[in-house]
Amino acid sequence: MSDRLVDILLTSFTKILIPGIKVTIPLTVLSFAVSLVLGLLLALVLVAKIPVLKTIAFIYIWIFRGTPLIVQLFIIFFGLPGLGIMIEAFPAAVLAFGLNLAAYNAEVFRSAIDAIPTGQMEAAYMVGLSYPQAMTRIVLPQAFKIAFPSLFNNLISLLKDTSLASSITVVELFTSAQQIAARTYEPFALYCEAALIYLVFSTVLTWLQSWLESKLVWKSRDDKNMTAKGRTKSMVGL
Amino acid sequence: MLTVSDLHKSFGDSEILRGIDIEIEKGEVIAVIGPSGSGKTTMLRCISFLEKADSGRMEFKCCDDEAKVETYDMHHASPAEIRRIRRHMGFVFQSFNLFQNRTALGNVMEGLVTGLKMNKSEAEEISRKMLAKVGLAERADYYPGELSGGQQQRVAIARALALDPDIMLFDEPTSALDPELTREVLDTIRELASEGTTMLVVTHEMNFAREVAGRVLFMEDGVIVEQGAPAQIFDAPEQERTREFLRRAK
Repeated sequence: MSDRLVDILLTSFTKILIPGIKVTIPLTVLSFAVSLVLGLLLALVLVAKIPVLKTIAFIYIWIFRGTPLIVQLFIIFFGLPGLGIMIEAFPAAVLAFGLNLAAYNAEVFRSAIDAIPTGQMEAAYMVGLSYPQAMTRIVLPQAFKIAFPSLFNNLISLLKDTSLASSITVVELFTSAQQIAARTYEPFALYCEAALIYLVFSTVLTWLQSWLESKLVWKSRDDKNMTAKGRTKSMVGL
Repeated sequence: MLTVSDLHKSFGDSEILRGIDIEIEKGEVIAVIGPSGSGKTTMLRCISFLEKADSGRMEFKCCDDEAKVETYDMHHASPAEIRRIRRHMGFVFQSFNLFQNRTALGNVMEGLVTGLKMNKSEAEEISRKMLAKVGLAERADYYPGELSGGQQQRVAIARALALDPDIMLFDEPTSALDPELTREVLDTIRELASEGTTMLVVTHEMNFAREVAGRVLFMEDGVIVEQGAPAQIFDAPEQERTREFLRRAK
């Protein structure tokens, strides 16, 4: 490797990393927040089988899952101004990624809620809980645990998909790599460097996932109730 | 105290309940027996409004005061009415249905804190008392997955009792348990009976029904074929269908 290339890679590293931290990560976090809230609402509408709203949710998911993300991004950023709606690049990206992923997360939430045995809801009713109380206190916490790995999977996909924002002028991680590659004529090295930084980010997310999953277990703190393998022992009799 | 009359329920083309009439007096322990598919569980689920009956009337009388009689149309009852009638009932499921995201204590407290809006310390005190009553005081902080089936069912009984219901409904409470664990659950129910708790118990445990129930209902094909004192039903049944069922049950 020539000295020049090493020099380019070293000086460009922070120039790619900083937009990654300052733009890619906030873009990912905000979009994911939008997709969680909207996805959960869509799932609740589907599960509660609310007439009209249910149809709207169904159509929403059909459209956003059935069309390419980059097309949705272009419609929001380049298309909407034609209708008099101007949205800046960053919020446009948050909107596009959030709306798109909401459709996927809605399906994750819906199937997780469906996976909770109806007996949980019935038991909640019989101790005097209303539907919203039973949903928020009993069903959703359990459903969230089931949904968690899939949601995190979607989060990691989203992190990488935010590179599409480079096509609507958002200066994020990949945009910075593109600019430097164009200036230095070293596309192979620069894009590999960008890939490496994405890989570091998603590796951190993967660690975060395993750590959070280990926290999502309903277990008493009684060590005497453990087997040698650290699993909970089911108790027989008293 | 609780009267159900002319209860009908169909699933699709099959008529599961074909006009059920039951009258339950305060302090009575009633066992419901009958072959699988006879409608025992469906009846219990209609009484607790977990299934919507096609038709039927329910009357609840808390005391002698006629003004306080509550009547319900079992098909048209509103969600508010359903919540009101359920206040009188405790329900114990075949598959326990403990809240998986709550400890034993949390399971018992849930109805008190969220349903009845009781403050937490008071709810906890009642809940610990109820767990002690079913012999599980030291299991208060365990999650359902860490308890045996028999223990889970006893927590479920404590959860229902904590709300101080007028009547306890049991839907085959021991069917999911092996004989050893069945015994501990039946002992708990037996103790409640001795304290005068009003109970309607759907069961396959004939010996238990004979020993604990004050009255036995025999159901088949969606109707109550025969009812009476255990000695009468088990030793001198009047109906041929009852005799046939008991012969097979032995």
